[in-house]
Amino acid sequence: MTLEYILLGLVASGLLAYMIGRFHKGAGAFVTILASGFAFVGITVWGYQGELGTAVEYIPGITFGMSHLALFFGIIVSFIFFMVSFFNPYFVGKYKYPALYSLLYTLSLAGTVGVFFADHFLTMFFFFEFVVWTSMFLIPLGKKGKKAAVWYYGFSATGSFALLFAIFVMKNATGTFLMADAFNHTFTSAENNIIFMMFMISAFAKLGAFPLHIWLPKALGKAPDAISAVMSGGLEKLGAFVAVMGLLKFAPVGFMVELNGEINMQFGQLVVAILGALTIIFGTLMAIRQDDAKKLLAYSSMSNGGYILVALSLMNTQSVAGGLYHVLAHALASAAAFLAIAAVSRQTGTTKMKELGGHIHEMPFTYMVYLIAIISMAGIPPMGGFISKWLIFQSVLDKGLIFIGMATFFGSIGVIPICI
Amino acid sequence: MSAVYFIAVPLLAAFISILNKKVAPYLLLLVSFASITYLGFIELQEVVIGGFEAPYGINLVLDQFSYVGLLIVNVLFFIVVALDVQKYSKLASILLVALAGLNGLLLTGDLFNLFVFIEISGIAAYLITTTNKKPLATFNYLVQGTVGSCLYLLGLIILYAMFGTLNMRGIGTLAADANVVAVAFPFLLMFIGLGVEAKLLPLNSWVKGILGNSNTLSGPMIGAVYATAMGLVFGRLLVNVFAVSEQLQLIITIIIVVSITAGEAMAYASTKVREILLFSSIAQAALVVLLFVSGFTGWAVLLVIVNGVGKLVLFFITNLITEQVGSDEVNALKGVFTNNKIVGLSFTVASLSAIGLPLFVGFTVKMNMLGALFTTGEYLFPAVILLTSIVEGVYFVKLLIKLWNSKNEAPQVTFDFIVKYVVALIAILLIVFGVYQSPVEELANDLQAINYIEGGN
Repeated sequence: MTLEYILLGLVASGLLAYMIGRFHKGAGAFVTILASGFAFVGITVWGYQGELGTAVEYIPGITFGMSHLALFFGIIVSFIFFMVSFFNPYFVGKYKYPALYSLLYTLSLAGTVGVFFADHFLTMFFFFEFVVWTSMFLIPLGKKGKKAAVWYYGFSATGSFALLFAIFVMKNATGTFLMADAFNHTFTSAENNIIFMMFMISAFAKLGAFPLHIWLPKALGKAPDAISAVMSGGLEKLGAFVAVMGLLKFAPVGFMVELNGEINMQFGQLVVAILGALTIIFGTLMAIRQDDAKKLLAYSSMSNGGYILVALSLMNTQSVAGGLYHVLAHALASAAAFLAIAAVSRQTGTTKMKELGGHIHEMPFTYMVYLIAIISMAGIPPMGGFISKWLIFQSVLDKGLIFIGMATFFGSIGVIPICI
Repeated sequence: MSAVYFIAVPLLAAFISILNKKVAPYLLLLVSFASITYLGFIELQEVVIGGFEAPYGINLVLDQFSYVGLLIVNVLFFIVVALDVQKYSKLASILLVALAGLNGLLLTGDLFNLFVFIEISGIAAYLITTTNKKPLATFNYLVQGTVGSCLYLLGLIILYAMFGTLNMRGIGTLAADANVVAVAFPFLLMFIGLGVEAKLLPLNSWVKGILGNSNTLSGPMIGAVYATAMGLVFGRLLVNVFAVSEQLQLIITIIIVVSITAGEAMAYASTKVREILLFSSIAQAALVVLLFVSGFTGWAVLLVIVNGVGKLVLFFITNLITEQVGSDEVNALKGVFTNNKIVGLSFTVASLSAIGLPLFVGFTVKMNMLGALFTTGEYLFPAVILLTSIVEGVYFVKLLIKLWNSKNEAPQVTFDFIVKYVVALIAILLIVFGVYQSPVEELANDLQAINYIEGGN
């Protein structure tokens, strides 16, 4: 099995889903289950055995590489797409262009997988932009979200063009677009800082972190229910992927910030950590105010993006482990929560929490899922969110970043009122 | 086999067509199709008219640059004419003159001869735009076009006084050795003069009146065919003739940056589909000039071609819809593609290609163009282009989403069978060359090698 087959399989089944979807909405959506299942199983099974080939025969100008990071993100995101796809046959009937929905859903997954496994910056950018436009057209299909799609596009484009700028700066210095060459190259400090800043803009825009977060509540709040889950659990993680690359491969060069022998961080890292902390606080505060369950989860998604940024900016083994684990924990929890709300909204036709009181008796199973997801997001044991948040919290305190520690703590407590 | 026929035959046909009005439309179709076919047989050559060698005579140059230019302009011209000939059969003679003028623009190797063709194609363009039934806008176009060609002529006279020749290659060689400050003034006059037709600031205010009120003939003809030809002529002069001094470079830089930013900003602020398209073409035209000035001939030509093809589809569909709905306000056209999926998809593909999103040919051109600009080590232009691209993307996406989705009853629009096929075919080509990039890259590399007119005096 090679990655190329997975991608081609996805594109082909996307087209198939479109054809079938034109005659039968549900059947077309059913193809998305098979396609995303195939991608998930392909990446996981062969990837784990180290047998997932990267050779490319048919697609011109595209090359792939294999790394643990790519595999990690690839498995998570394809899993989220797979799980969400089970909802598609039930929801697709309500959308304006059901066949198109199935096509774009599958193409988005193909693009996302492409981003993670690219070993060439142009390939990565190609897929990055590909995901932007395929997912952008998914947002207005739910009949709301027309403006939200434009916001999403604007910020995503900002992110991807920032990335492109960095790519070309690297190309000028190294002479190639190969990632491995760029990672091993010693850039001048000016180049390095431009690259770092651009990667961060890209990561912030994609992750929906403060101050590039405006699109996130709009898009996640208004998108079709299943797409909100995919965006929060899957597509947003592209930002985390770029953040990992930017922070770990192009560490900023500048002056060190030191306080009483502690902290010891590069100025650039500290800025990312502070912005991450602000994202947590802002996201949590806004989430508490919401009456709409989807908007609430959107803001909570934003604050969780902040955790990932804080963790990665500290750049030690413990924090990075925590950050990456949080990618997994949040992907699962937010997808579960959004899907639970999707189920509720399908039954009741509303996502306003005031109107949803007492539904626990009618939908106990959905309620349990939502509860577990929220508990995990709040970082309460024995859920996954607890482990990642603990790691992050501990590494923040080890660094002596008291205020950022308070922000992470605040973010965890803030989720509790949401549960209630 | 002579390149003169590209000009002579349409001109002759134009005169014949006046004699018999009924034959005229068929003659137009025949001649424009023959022109494309003839390109398949002709060899690259230089024609010395009347046996007078330059600098005394006029020469026509058919090198690879003008060959590609002729091919794309004639194909676009044929598509527009074929789709419109029934509705605007009265204009057949004028369109034949336009074809002669456009072919002449691309072929000529002489600066004064170029002026003549600018005037010929210009007069045809003024007449074509009278079909908009906005006389004031056409008059405005006429005045600005005339001022532009006068400025061009003035620059030309100064150059003639300096060098004693009007041959492009001759002036190109002489100007390269001359005092760059002394030639900067005539070149600037010519730059501004040509900038009128190429939609560059400061004389581009006619565009709004003309393209903003265009119809299925004038929109694609002026917005795509003329724009393509003028872009290429501009490129010819910038690459082969002009010696760009630092001062001139500074002025051109300012004009380009302001044109791009203003164009995208105005497009963003527009609420009418045609205005969005025309302002976006202003920005694109400036981008083309930027590429030519920076010496990236290959990608500049490709950008011209991709824009021309894309804008043809966009303007044509928009004008067809506008004629049926009676308005081109975006809000009046909400959901118009709901029942016209093929045309809608073609429009979407052309727009996404214009934004430069992957899978479409616009992406290939944009990537390579940015890559080329980055190699100069100057980060200003790429930064401006990237920032304005965000704006461009946002207004196109806004437009597309509105045209596809509507809460209320969507306006009823029908399209001819043939229109559907033509736009769908172009859309498929945009995707095919977006995925299969090597021919595009090869063409760009071939054209990049051109930095002088082959043949010559």
